[in-house]
Amino acid sequence: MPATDSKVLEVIELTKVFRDFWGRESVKAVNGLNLDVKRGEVFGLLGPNGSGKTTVVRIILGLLFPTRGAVRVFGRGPRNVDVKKRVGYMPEESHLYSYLNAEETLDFFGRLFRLRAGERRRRTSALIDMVGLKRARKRPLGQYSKGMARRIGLAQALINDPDLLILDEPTTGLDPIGAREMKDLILTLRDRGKTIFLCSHLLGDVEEICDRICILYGGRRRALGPVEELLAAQDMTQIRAPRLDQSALQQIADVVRRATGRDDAIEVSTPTRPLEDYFLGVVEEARRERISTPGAEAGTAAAGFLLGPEPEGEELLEELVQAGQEQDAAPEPVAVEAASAIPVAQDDELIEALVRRAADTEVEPQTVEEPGAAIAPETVVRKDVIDELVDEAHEAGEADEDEVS
Amino acid sequence: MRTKFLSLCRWFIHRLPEVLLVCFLLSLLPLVVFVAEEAVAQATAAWKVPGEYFQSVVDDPVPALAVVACVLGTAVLLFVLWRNWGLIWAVARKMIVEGLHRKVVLVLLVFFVLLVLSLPFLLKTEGSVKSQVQIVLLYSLIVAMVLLSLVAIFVSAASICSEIERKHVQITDTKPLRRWQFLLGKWFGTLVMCAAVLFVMAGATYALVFYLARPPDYSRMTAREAEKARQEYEGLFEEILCARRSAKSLLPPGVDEAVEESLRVLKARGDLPDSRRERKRLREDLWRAHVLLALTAPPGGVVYWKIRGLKPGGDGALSVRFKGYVNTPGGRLLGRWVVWVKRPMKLESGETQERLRRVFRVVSPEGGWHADTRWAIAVPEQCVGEDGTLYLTYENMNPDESAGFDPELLVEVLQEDKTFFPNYYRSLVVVLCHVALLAALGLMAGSVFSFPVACLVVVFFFVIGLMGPWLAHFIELSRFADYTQFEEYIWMGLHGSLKAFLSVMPHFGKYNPLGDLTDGKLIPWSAVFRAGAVMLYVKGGAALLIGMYFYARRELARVIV
Repeated sequence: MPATDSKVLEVIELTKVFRDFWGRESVKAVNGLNLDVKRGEVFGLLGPNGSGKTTVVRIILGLLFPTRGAVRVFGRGPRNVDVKKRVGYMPEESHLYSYLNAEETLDFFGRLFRLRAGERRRRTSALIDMVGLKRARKRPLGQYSKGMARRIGLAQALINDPDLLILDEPTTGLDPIGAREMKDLILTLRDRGKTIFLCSHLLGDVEEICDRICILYGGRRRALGPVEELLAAQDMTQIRAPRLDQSALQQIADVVRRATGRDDAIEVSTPTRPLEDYFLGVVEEARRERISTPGAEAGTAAAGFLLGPEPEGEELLEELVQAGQEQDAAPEPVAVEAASAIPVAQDDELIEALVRRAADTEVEPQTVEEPGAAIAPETVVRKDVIDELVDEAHEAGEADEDEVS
Repeated sequence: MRTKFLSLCRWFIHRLPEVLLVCFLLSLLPLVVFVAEEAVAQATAAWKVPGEYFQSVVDDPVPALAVVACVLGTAVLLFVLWRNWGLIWAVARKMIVEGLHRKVVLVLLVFFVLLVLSLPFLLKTEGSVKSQVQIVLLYSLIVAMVLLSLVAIFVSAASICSEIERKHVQITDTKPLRRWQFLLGKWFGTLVMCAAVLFVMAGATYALVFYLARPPDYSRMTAREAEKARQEYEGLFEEILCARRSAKSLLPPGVDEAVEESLRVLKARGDLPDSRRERKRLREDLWRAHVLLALTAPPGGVVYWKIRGLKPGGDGALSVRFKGYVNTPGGRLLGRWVVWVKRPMKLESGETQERLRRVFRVVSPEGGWHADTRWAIAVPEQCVGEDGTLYLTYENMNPDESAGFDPELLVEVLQEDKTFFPNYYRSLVVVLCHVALLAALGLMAGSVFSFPVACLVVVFFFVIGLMGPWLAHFIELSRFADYTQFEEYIWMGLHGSLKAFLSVMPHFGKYNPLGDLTDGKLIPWSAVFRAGAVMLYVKGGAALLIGMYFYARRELARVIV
């Protein structure tokens, strides 16, 4: 593996300014962004709407040109054809040709990679099976639902077995099964040494699959680091236990009170299952009852060629199949009142909260760049840095004043 | 059975782009054969008398330059297509599929059929087969050309714009496809699609024309009718469904000397104007006057023509076309045409010298030839000299009026030369060059501007292409206005830039072969090469390169209005 490959993607001091007709600066979409994505990791780019995520992705793809700074993909410029051979991109909305059907679409993109006819046919049918569009493969894409279009968008991104997969909002528009499959696929590909760069709003998904994340706000980086470290609530402790009776709980509460000296420091509740698990269980049951659907079906495991010639490919496939079976054996769904544990509607608030926290905790941008260097919340909080950051957030003009201050 | 048929249909539609490509390549086969034939003929001519051949090339280098441009352009195009075939065909193929799905091809063919079928109701012919054939030929080919021109320029512009607007490029551009390959693929796809449609339309026209020109059924006619029908039938193949070589008379000799002489006289008298500008204008006026003088025969006078470039050794008939005018409007030309041939003559001194001798004459019919009308007279082909020159005089026998001839139109001689099909094919090749240029212009507009603006630009190209000759004419006319020195400078600047602009723009009339085709005139290879060089490779290539330059520097994810 060449040395340049350890860093699959480098974003160096990237600034993008959109100008109006007269050349005046209208929007500074990205402002001095620095990022590194290493080989074999799943990297998430988060941020509220209009924070510059999609602009960054488009610059990485060579669809927009940086105003200042540079982007290096596999050590080269993003518009290099050799780079593009190794990149797969799934856009937020599938901008595909509505008059072609799934097979023709994949055939067309296969041709653009100069794949031979036999190889094109093989990959096309494998990918269509994988994304669960076997029955709809002769229908023109114009008739597809949004989720089906997303699936074919994923298939076209994988036609060249890319080393770097760039996904813009990978799970939006997909049904929960599709989202689950997408997440499984991302993890499978990561295990094969592929690099995945994604932007998303859906924090549950990001939390689940990303190794490292970067949070953008107003075109600036607000946080960067491994997910667990960023999310660890350093001043809290969680205890999980089997169901306890009232007296046992009282004893624990006493212990905590003694240790912390506070009355309100403990909170007791019954853990709820995430809605995702519950939903998957219901659908799985319906599928077992063989209720047919005209839309997208469940996809199969990753297409064979994506698992590649690596020796562990077979084993991986088996593992995946096993994982699927384990999932099948999920417990019977219980009563419907199992509450939503992932309030999706609150995602934006969550991002805001994260942004705010990141703004509080970020100390020196340089220190954060070190791979693996997490943002330690305990680090001495410098009042002046916070003020500066808050001011900048004001200047970025994207934020509502109340939220920032 | 039915499912089998349906699946066969589906397979066929899926393979239609490949079928069209094969048709396109097959339709280019005659081109290869004819060009090879012509190359052999030229090589033989050069081999026989190299000195003379190269002298003719030096005298008029334009055809040779056109051939060089075509050969170089074709070589570059083939090389680029060969090296990037997979990608270019992928894009072109998708473009054709798009054209088929959007029913562009279908609508085109339906329009064509409707317009051609409505022809008998739209136009009233005098009823003769000859005029019917001529009108059908001209009309259906013009319909085909206009439809294809519109489609080529709009489909190519719209295709690029819609790809950007619908964000298709945001996926295709992330694939290892260079942007110039994308544009070239679009151009090639448009060309293949248009060529296929053109050859279908042209084939239909050809069939229709030869259906109309079938031999008459003599059995039901009286002898007189049959004779008339036979003459008409034969005339059809002598005047329309043929390829006659056309040669125009040279300007009368001695005009330049006469101008110089007049200037000398004026100078001697001290009447020459001081400013250089006015001297130049005076010279032009004098030149025009002397040309008119040389082409005018006073009562009893003679006008003399020399026509070069005919093929010697034939034994058919030449058609000499002329248009004259007389002093009074609506008058008639009374006179005779005399044909001269150079014959060696023994002089008294014993030397032999070539002298012109009268060999043939045509006297005006009773009442004369109408002035301001085109007339044709038949002259035996043997009158053409060994060097391909024909000498003609017009002797004015009207005692009251002078007879003059238009210096712009001159006298034209038509000589039977080649058969109809190659001529037809050559004119289609020129039409295809035309379509290729328009496709390139459409792509250029589409890759520089967004949709509504690109459409406007395309319409602008179209209008300039149609009105170019008129505009050029008006610009030329303006030179006789009485300007001050300052206005003169402004005029010169405007004139120069407008002329340069018009020469860069497409010019639909200049290389349009359809008029000549339906006139039964030969469309020489030199014209085809010139059209190919100018439209396909120079203008079309430049348009494509400009489009590629701007497209490669465009931020595709940004909407530019």
